[in-house]
Amino acid sequence: MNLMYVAVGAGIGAVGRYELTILGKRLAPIIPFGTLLINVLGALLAGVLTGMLIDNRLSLFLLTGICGGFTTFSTFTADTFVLVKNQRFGIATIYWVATVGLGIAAVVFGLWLGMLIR
Amino acid sequence: MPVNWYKIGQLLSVFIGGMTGGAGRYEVGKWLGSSHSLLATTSVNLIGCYLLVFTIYGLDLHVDLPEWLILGLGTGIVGSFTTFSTFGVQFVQTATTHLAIAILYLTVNLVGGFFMAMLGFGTAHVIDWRQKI
Repeated sequence: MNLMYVAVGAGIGAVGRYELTILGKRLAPIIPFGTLLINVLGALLAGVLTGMLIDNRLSLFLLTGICGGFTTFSTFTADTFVLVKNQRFGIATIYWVATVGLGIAAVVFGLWLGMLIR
Repeated sequence: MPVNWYKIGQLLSVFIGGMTGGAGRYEVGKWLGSSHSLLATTSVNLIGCYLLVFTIYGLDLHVDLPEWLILGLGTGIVGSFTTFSTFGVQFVQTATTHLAIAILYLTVNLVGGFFMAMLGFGTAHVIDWRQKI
């Protein structure tokens, strides 16, 4: 049953990521802005939920499932790899630093916000 | 408005792929002790980086697969298998108590992930696709 909570959540997260990626590609074709936004938003939400100390079953659905499926480490890395391979070092650096920096900042802010709500 | 079956097919493919990838991540976590272990997240992230670049530069370029299948495999399964949110939360939580381990965790995921992406690209190049397909 636990597996089902994770799976359905991850499916919903993946569809959300797909839709936002398409939107991002339309708005900013060069920088993978969609994936950047997805990972930072997902990190923020995961921080809030972790800070709120939600119960185990809800955590499997929302955190492991939706946040885990919504955010993606592989696309982030593949995007960076493609940019480096195409010698777009400037954009690769901005994208990389922004994802890691804003991602960590979003978690810290989210944890703080979650503890306030709790 | 007419029903866009093409779009529905794409979304279904991403949804089912996403379910599979997320379930796989959870199972890997169980094998490695807990889905919240640093080792589990590192494992899925590194494997996923390899698989995604291999999918993009190997399967998508060289094998005549339908678009919905590539979407389900890449965006769905591999995309959901890896996770940035758990990675970020674990880094911050570990950093508050064990800063050195947290930095090691960050480095292994980021540098290791990039290395695995290069490896996936290399694998896609080494395979003689004409003989396989």
